[in-house]
Amino acid sequence: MKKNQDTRSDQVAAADHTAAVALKSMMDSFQSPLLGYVTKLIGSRQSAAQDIVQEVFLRAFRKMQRDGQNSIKNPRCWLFRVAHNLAMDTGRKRGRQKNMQDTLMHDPVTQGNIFPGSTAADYAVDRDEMYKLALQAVDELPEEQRNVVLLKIMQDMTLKQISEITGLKIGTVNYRLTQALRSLAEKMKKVGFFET
Amino acid sequence: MVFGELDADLKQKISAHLDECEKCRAMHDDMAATVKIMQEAFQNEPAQVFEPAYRDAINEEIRESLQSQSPTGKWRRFMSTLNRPSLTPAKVLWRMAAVFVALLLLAGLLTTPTLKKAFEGSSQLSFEQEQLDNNHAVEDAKRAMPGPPSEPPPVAKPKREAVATTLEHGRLARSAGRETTARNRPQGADSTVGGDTLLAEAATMPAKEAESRAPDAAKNKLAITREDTGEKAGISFDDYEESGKMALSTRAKIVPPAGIRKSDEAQLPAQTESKALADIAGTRSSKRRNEAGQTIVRPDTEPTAADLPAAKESGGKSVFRAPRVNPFVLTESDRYSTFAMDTDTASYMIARRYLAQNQTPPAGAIRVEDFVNVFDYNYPTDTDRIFGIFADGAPSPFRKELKLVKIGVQGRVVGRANRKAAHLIFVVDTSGSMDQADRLPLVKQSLNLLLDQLDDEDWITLISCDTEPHLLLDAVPVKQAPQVRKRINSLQTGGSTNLLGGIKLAYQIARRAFRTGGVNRVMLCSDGAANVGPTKSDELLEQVAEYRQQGITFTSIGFGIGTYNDEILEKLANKGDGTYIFIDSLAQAREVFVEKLAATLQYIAKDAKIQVEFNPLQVRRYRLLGYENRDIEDDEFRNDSVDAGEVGSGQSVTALYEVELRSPTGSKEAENATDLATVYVRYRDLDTGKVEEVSRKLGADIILDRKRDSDPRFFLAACAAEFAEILRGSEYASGTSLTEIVNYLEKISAALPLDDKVRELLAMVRRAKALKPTGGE
Repeated sequence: MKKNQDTRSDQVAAADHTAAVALKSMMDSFQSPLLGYVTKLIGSRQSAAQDIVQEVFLRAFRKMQRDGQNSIKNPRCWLFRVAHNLAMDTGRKRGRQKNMQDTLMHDPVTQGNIFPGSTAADYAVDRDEMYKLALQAVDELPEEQRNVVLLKIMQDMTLKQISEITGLKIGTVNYRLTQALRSLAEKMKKVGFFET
Repeated sequence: MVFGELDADLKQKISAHLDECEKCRAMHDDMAATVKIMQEAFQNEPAQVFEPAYRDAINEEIRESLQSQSPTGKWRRFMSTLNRPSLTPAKVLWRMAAVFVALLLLAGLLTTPTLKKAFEGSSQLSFEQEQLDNNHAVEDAKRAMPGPPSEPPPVAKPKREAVATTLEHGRLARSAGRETTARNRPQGADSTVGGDTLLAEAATMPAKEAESRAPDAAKNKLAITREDTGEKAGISFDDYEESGKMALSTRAKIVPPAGIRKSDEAQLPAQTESKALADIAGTRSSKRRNEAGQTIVRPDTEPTAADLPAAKESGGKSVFRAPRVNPFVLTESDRYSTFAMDTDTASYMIARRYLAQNQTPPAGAIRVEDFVNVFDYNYPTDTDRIFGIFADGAPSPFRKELKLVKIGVQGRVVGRANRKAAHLIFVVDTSGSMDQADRLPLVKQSLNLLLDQLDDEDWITLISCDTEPHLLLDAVPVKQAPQVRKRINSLQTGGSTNLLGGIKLAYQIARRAFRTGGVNRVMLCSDGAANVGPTKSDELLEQVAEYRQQGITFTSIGFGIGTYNDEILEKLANKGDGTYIFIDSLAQAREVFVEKLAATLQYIAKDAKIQVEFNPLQVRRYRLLGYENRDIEDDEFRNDSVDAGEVGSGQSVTALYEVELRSPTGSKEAENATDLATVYVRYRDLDTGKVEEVSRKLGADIILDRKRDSDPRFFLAACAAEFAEILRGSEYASGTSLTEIVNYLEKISAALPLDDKVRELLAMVRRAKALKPTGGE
């Protein structure tokens, strides 16, 4: 009888220990992707994203402590699902809406080079500028499209994983993704990419 | 990717449809292209990690949840182990003894005054230091590290944590060190930040149990250490374990280790004091040895003013990381200043490029030594000796109370005829990002220029490198020029960047077609926008360093600006005994590959180091301008295995020191000691393979009241350095305006009418001034 009790308390301690260890490895592997995803998803100050991801890890810890380390079978999906839900709850009051057109009007072409070998054409298109525009275009997607794009392209997930995380049907995910890509492609085209 | 997850049947149907329907085809292509750009864009984003406050909060929460149930559970478990039938009395005794010892240690730890002393000592130190060298960087450091100075050291927390602390002190200290790292590098891409304190918390179980897990824990620790050795995160655990005595994680936190034995305890104050000396001197180098010969390791990442803009800049842009700015050092506490020779000029070229685009160069891209070394100071070359040492000094033009000492080391010139046969292995980055006029097309032009200069005996290997490396020319003699040219001109861009693959292949070929007694050089032409994570770049660096030993050197040639990753290219060149060149125009290419080909290809010395020993009787304090990331430990100067700088034929290295002289005391000693300093240069002669050392004493008479007209080159060096200091936001240059520099340079330019470089510098300073409406005031 007494022995049983001891074993149980041993197990509790062991569970705490392993939960902490498991959480550490989770944090190592997933904090960057999660922070990246949530930041892009809610598009507000970084601290909000940090708040959310912190809560995600704490929930993971509590769950592992309660139900054992193996209770989270697929950490990636689990973490992203919780993060997604939390972000959806808080992300409604998004304050940032940049006007893409304004940025596009900005032309980095230089004038009056004093140094040899540098012509204005060199700087006309900058790869970074393009990336910036691409990310902005993602920001401007409606929320339900944005999250599938982020999961698919940024996190490189399968449609099935996305459907698990967002709770949508695979068909819906696929539809939204296609819509999003189409509108993205159009935006990029408007800006003058893909001229051949 | 758009259709990546469909089954084969459907895919076929769709692709059939796409072949027919032009409209859908176009849409599909656009979408695919969009996905590609998006992917690249996301990859280009800096990775985010938790801010320390958030991570701490997680740790705190977990700690609480662990403690809420632990005390009773622990006690029950402890009692039950005693009752276990499997335990022999001997085992029980042994365990009790272990617990007893642990308790003793704990008591000792809590009562010992050492801790308190150490803590007080360190906070006092930073105060003194501020007073002494008026170093605002310290304040910056504090600002960037809120908390620690006022926080009690972790050990000060009582009992509950004490067990964890004694067992896991190393990790606590480490994590503290890493916090600083994380703060300085908010965009740190890998897993440097992890809740390692979690493990410490988890160890709040009975001592004996934790003991049995100790080997396991040790493994974990090592794993963590290995993870971020590349990052050089403050404290190397190995060092820590070796010295086993003291870990200094931040200025304010001193965590004494567990098994402090009595003898060690006695040593602790002594060590603290010797650290104190180092601190008072204001030396903030990453490693210093104290009298006991133990390494005190400190984070190499103390924030400086220059760090901050650099961090901002890297938000998806070019990655530049500023080194700290050398502080003033009191000669009495450290009379030696040691650094590796560095003949790179890339930082200057990058700044020129930015200014040409009407942009202020990021502070992180500025290296003072690069600015100074761009210019020709007309040191006489001596054909007999490999290096000549030259020095002159004058009152500092920008800070009246100080003297500026310019030390030049000039390398011998090797004639064209003496050049060794070379095997040049070019790795050309042909990824999508190179598809701009100043990148791949310029690479082609540069290579064609070089080809004209090479001899028939030289070999050339050409590897293009996008998603996969492609071997285009395999150690082909240059006399087959038409074929070589054709290959070079056929280079095309596309795909992502697999630099690692390209460099690996390059070294394979370099090893296979090794030219004994010749120059074997891998030359990377890239914009540095490699899609390799930090772990991969570490791997890259290791490889480069390994082959260096075998006589294969590495040169980074940077092209283009924008996604340009300065840091990795410089690191590669430093590790690979090579140089780092930045080419932004055909004119620059001509300079590197035609006019200075011998210097580019033929080194006269490697592992060249300079040590300046100041005379404390004459010099009160000194500051080395630049060379921050070329710092070498003073007592490593005569360690010939330390990787230092390489010097090409006819190249010179110039270092500037700001010194404050002692006012004449009239003491006999001071009268007798007329030498300001002694300059030592130590290098390995690449012809003979022997290590040699030359030195020169600098008398006080080198410091004269110089005039701009008669000594224009001295002031040129001063101006170049001051300009760089302003650009990188150095505190020391805060009193100088760009207008002052312009005034000086106008005079200098008039005195040196034939030197285009001076006019160029003047144009750059003017441009920078125009960008800063305040003119830097």
